[in-house]
Amino acid sequence: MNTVIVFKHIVKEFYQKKKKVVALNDVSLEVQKGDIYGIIGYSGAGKSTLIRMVNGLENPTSGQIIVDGKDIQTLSTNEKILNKKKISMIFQHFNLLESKNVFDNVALPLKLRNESKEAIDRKVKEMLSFVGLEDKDKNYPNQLSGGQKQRVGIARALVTNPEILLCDEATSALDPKTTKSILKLLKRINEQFNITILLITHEMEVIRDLCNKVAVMENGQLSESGNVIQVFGQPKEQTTKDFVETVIPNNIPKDLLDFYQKNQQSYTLLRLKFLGENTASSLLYQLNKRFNHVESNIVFASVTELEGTTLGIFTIAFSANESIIQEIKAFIKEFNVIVEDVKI
Amino acid sequence: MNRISPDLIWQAMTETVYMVSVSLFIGTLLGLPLALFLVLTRPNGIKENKIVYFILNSIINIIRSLPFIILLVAIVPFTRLIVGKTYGTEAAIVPLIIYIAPFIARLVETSLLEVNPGIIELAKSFGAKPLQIVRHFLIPEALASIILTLTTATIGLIGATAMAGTVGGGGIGNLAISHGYQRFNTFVIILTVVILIIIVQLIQTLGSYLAKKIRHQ
Repeated sequence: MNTVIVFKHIVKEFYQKKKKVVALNDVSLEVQKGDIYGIIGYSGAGKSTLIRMVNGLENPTSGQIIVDGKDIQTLSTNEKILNKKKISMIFQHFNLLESKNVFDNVALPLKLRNESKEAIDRKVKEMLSFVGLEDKDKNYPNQLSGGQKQRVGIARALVTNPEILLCDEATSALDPKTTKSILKLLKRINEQFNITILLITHEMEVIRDLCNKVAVMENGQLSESGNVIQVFGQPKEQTTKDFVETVIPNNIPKDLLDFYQKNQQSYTLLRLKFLGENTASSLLYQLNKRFNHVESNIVFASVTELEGTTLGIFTIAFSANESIIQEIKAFIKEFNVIVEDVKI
Repeated sequence: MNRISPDLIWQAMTETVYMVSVSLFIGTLLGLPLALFLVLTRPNGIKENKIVYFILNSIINIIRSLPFIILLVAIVPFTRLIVGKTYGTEAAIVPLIIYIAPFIARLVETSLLEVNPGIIELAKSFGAKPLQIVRHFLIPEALASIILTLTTATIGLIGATAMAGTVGGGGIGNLAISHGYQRFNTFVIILTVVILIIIVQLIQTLGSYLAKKIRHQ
């Protein structure tokens, strides 16, 4: 696997009313070819500044950005333009030209490259049919829905055969159903054209449904990064936990919580996290068989699909003394399942 | 009631149309590039240049602070230099241009600044050069607004031509003063008012129609 984008110790400072603001504070990150890398964070975390450095819309105060093995800040003006040509971007508010119809919007980047009329015609039609808008070519942006506008944005981004696609909150202005269809389209782009995608979002659904890697950003720093499964399964920082909880609910329903709080002496709550459905059913079966004298109740369970496999989180209440609980924990660990205490 | 010959009215109308169209045309030729320079060189603009921006901005502000009637007489030597005379329709056109070009520049500047900043960012993400940004992004996106701006400028020009009589420029405004006001002829005054209202209405309707058409609404 080769690395296509590297951020090395990126710092970005700017002055607002004579006060120094540090937007990015020593950010390092690597994106491999074919990745769908998601950077998640609340607004103001600095993710928007970071993604804009890849295509030179922003420059760092210090640090390096290496795209395809080249430090983009050392490039000449012409090389910078060449670099931009293999990177496309889609935007939260689509940024379509209201004065041009769908066809001309998609054709725009090719026109800037002085491509022939025939080539433009062929490529634009091909891209419009790829995004499912072949019959809308004569329409103007104000006649399209949000989802259709983003499809035009995607067609315009793809028409130049980029190697990298930057997505700036591409689904944040869309309703949940449209978001899903756009995410599917992005996944198809990644698979079909082998385009590396770097995206920023504040929606964990986007990370869950689309990405294979994730970085969590907070106050201009990356607090956590890695494979989506790993970060979802074992979130370390509080912000990450908060984000994960928005898509994988982890709260025990109130009635149950009250009950177990009242009976703290007799029950111990354990949280089990595992990958793959088979592990789950087999473990629960073995657990009941081995500790058949222990009362066990499933208090809470969720199963989430990530990168084609499942992440299961079960909270189980065991009625047993401390030594038995330790035995149970050891037994669960033999199945390569993460087990942790739940404080109530 | 004192009648007025239709020929005189026709001549006044031709003079107004002549003055307005020539000064609008040349004023736009000067005003549009001025507006583009202002937008490009302004702080945080695509080609930021503090000195150029400061100079252009000051010149426009100075000219814009003069009432037209003052400008008209103040630049008489300059007018003579350009058209070789200080009296007549051509002599009125020179100050009209000087008056309207900065006005157009200021209004078009506003139109250009109204273009969604996301569009400029998009252009930069394509690696577009400044001229390409102007040609393929800024102007097409601002065109409807620029048309409305030029409509406003045209109407402003018609107002200014009323004072052109001071230097013998003629026109409808002059007719109202010389044949109406100074000869106590109410009919001529009412007639010129009606003509002016009709002309302004026509121009505004045309401008709004074109802008709407460009906006595809």
